[in-house]
Amino acid sequence: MENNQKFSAEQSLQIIQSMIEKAKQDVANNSFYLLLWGWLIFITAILNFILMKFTNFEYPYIVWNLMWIGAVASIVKGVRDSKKIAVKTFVGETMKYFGISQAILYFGLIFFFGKYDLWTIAFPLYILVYAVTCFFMGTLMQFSLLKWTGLLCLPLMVIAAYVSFDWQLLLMAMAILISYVIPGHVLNAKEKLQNKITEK
Amino acid sequence: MFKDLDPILHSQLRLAVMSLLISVKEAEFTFLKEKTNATAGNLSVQIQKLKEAGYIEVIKQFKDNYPQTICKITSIGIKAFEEYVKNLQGYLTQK
Repeated sequence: MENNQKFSAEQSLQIIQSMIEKAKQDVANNSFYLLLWGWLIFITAILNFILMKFTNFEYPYIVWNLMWIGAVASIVKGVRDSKKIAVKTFVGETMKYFGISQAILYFGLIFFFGKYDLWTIAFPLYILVYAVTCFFMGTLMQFSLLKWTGLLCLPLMVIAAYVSFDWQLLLMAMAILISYVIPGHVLNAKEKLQNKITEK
Repeated sequence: MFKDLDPILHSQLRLAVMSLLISVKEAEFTFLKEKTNATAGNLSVQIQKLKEAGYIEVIKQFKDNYPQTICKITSIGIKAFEEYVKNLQGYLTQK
């Protein structure tokens, strides 16, 4: 682009529009975290259910230690991306701090559930957190599917409050599949398509 | 009545830089160069002009031992950009 000062008002508008569009295309890829945590929680909840229902294993909840994989992977990806990133968007920054806030929230919840032995209400509350998270992220990213799948978790939360612990596990697996995994794959396909267009 | 367009903004490259910066929180020099397809020299000169007008803030720092230039739009820059777009719209409706 040259530094020409003789151009029409229409050309001015075209420059403004095209640059705003180009800046929008550089919004960070968010599907990674949805897919990582979605699949990890889904698999862990199913594993916990199988160990509880079909084996005599004394500590089936031990599988939740798999969450550390997600924590380490998220930190590594976050640090790597922050080094690569050449632009900071308002949406990207909000998502970053929302992610950190969520980590704090989960640690806080786990602490209180453990301290007061509240594991029977843990999963309905986690489902509520998924619902709120997806609704907020969907609104922020202007990704309606995520917003609606988040809201779909609310009836699952109510049902989970009335069933036994083992069935709560299955409801949580279903909630994470609906709210994280499915929108995560749709978002991933969208991002791949957008990256292809940008490369061209 | 048609108002004169801000001469600082009424330049293709400076307008492109301002349009990019208005959409983001901050951007590196490399990002602006890639999106505008401008040469580094030309872009540096235009960024300096925008900085002198108080429209943008330029932060020079080191990241992993490499120099890094970050540009950020200022509140004066936002006002000037909004005024420019308003005048542009007025001009287009008059035509």
